[in-house]
Amino acid sequence: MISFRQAALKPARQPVLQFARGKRTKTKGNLTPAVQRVVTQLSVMSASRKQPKMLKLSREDFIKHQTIQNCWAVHQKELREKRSEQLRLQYKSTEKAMELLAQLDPTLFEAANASEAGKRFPLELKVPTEYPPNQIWYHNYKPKSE
Amino acid sequence: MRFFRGFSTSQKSCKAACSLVKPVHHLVKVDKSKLSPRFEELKYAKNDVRSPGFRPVATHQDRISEHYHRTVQPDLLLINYSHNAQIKKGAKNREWDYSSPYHLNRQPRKPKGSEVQLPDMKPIKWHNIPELESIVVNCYVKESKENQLLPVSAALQLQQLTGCKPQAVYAKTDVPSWKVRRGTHMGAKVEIRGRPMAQFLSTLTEIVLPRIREYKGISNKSGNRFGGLSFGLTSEDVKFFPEIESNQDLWPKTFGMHININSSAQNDIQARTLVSGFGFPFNGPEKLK
Amino acid sequence: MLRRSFHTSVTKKSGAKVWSDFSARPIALSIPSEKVKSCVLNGTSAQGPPSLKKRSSRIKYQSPEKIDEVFKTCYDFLESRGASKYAKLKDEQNIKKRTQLAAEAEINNPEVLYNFQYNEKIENDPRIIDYNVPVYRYLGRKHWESYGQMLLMQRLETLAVIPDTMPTLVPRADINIKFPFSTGLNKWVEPGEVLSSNATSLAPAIKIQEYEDVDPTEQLYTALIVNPDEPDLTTDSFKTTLQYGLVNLKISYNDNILDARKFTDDNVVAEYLPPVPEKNAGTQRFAVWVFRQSGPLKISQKRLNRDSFDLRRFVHDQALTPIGAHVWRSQWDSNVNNVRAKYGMPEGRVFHRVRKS
Repeated sequence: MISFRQAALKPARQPVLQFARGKRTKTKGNLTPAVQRVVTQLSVMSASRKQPKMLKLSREDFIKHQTIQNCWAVHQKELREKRSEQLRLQYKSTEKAMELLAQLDPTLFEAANASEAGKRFPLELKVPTEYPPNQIWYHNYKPKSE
Repeated sequence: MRFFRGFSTSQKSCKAACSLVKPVHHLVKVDKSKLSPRFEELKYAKNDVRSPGFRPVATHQDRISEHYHRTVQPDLLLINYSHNAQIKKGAKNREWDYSSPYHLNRQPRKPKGSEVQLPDMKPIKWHNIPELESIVVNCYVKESKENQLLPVSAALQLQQLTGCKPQAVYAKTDVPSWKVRRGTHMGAKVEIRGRPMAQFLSTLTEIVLPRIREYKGISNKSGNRFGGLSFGLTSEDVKFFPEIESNQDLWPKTFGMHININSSAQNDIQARTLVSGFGFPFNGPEKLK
Repeated sequence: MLRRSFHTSVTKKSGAKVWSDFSARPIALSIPSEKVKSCVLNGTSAQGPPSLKKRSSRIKYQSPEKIDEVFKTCYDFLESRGASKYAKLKDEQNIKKRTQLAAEAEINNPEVLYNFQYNEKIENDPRIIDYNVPVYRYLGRKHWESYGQMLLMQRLETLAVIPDTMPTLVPRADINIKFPFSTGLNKWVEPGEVLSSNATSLAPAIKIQEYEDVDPTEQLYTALIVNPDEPDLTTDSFKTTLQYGLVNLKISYNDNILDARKFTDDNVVAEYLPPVPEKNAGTQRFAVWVFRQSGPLKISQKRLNRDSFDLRRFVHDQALTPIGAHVWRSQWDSNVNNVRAKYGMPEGRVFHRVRKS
C-alpha cells in the first residue's frame, strides 16, 4: 500500500541533484571559442593554484636562512654606503677643482661651468653584458655627422 | 555629548558641538594588526621566509642597476654640476594684499605665470642624483566599449610583458563624443619597480626599439615637467617583444600601450639625460630654458 | 661561467674568531645543545636536523640545497663585521655607545638568534638568554615593542588607566604580574584581564624587566598597586585606594621577579589588600605602577593615606619616574565574602538601583 503511494508520488517530485565535491555541475562545452579564450586568459592571470608550496624549514635551517639574509643585507648596505661616499668625494673634489679654476682662469672656469642641459649619453653606450659581443671593437668607427 | 562619571548617576556635562576625537594619552604607536591573535603568519614582514607573501627577490644579477651605479650615476653628477648653485624657488601661492575686506578668508592668490605651485629646484649633489623610480605601462583599448573581452587580453599582454599583475582601468566619466560610458572596463595598467622594471627596460631598449622600422626615438617634447617621460608603442611594435613574438598564434590581436617612465629628476631636461643613459634614442628639438 | 662572490679580502681581513672563542665571552652567547650548535655551524649531519624530534620527520625533511656552504661564507663575513665592531668597542668610552656597539657586534650571530628565538623570554634561563649581555637586552626590547608594549598601552588607554591614575606613561621596562600558584591562576596575566577574587587573593609577583642601561647595584624601584574605582558615596564619585605598596626594591637584569622571598618587611609600605569589589559596584581596575627612585625612600606606613590615596602627589613628592605599568580588573563574585573573611575585612555593601524621585 505504502509502496504504491510512494511510487505514485514520485514523478511529481523535483529531480534530486546529487552534489559531489569537485565535480563540475556546469558543462564546459557551451562556451563560444572567444569566451573560452578569455576564460583561459583570466585563469592565467589569477593567482589561485599558482602559489608554490610554502617552505617549511627546520629551526636550524631557518636560522641559517636568516643569517644568509642578514649577511646579504649588510653587504648591500656596505655597497650603498661605499657608493654614496664615492659620489660625495667626487662632488667635493669637483667643487675644489672648480674653485681653483675660478681663481686661475675665469674664462676657462666659465667654459667649465657652462650648463650641460640637454646632453645625451651616446647611443653606442650599451648596458654591459656578461659576455662580450661577437665583434668586439669597431676599428674604423666614425660617429654619424648630424 | 559628554558625561561626568559619577558613581550613582552620570549627568550630561555639555553637548558636543562637533564630533569629539578621543584623545590619546601616550606616544606609543599601536599597530592593531599585530595585536590580533588571528593569522599569525600574516604578521611577518614580506621578506621573511615564514610569511605566505614571501618572494625571493635578489635571485639574479640586475644589469641595469649595476650599469646605472657604475656609469650613469657618476656621469650625471658631473653633467648636472653647476658651481655654487643655489636653490631655485618655484612659483608659489601669493598673499592677497588685504586692500579689500573680501580678501579675508579668500583662497590664496595663484602664483605668477602658473596655475599651480611649482616645486623648488635643488642643486644636484651626491644624494639627489636623478634615478629611475618606476615605469607605468598602461593600455587603453578603444574598441572595448563594444567588446568587453578585449581589456582582459590587454591585461594579459601587460602581464606577459612585465611579469607583474596588472590592474584594470575603467572609464572615469561619460564621454559622449567617444561613446564611452562611465565605469566601462577599458583596459589595464601596471606599475613596475626594481628588478621587473630593469628587465622590462632592457628588453625594450635592446630588443624591441631597435627592430621598429623608422623608429626615431622618444620625442623631446614629451614629459610632465617634473621628471616623467612618456611615449607610446603601437600594436605592431608590441609584436617585437620576445614574449609575444615567440608564440604569435596565441596573439592574433595585440594592443598598443603607453609607457611612462618616472624618475626622481626635478625637471624633464634632467630626466631625458638620465633616460638616454639606458639606450633610449631621443628625437626632435628640445626646449631648454 | 663567471662566479660572483664577496671580495675575499674583506672576509679575510680580520681572521679573529670573535664569535667562537669562548675564553672571555659569556656562555649565553653559545647554543647550549652541542648537537644543535654543530648542526647550525658545521652543517646538517646525515641524521637530519636535531630540532626535529621524530625520526620519521627527520628522514622526510630536506634542507634547502647548498644552504650549508652559503651559510659558511655568510658566517665568516658577518663574523668579520662583528670583529670590527669589537675593535671599535675597545676604544669607546661613552657607556651608551659601548652598549650599542656590543649589541651590534653580536646582533647577527646565528647562535644568539637561535637562543633568543627558541627559548622562554619572560622566565629566562640566564645560561641561555642572559639580559646582562647587551645584545639580549636589545633583542628583548625589540620583542617587547613588537607585541607586549603595544598591547599594554592599548589596554591602559582603553581602560583609561591613563589619565585616571597617572597622566601618561613612557614605557621603559616590561612589567608582568603573576599570582601565586596556590590561587589556581598559574600564568602571566595579560593586561586588562578580569580575574576572579580567588585568583587575586594573594599578593602577585611583579616582574620588572629592564632593557635600558641602569646600574642594578644602585638603582631602587617602587611598585604600587592602586584601585581608582572605589565608590565614594559622599561625593557621588570614586576614590583611589592603595592596595599594595613596595619601596626601595633592588632588582637585577636576570633575577627580577619580586615575590615575598625577594624583599623584607622594610620594603613593604602597604600590606597587600586583595581586590574585594562590592556587589553592583561594577568592574574595578587595579593598576600596577612601577617607578624608578632617585634615591632611597623613607615612608612611614602610618602617614600613608591608603583609603583615599593621591598617586600623582605621592609620585611628585617622592620624585619617582614611572617606567612601566600593568592592569587587571576584578568584579564581585561569590568568593568575595570568603576573601573578606580571610583578611578580616567587614562585610561588603550591596548597591541597588534607586529610582529618582
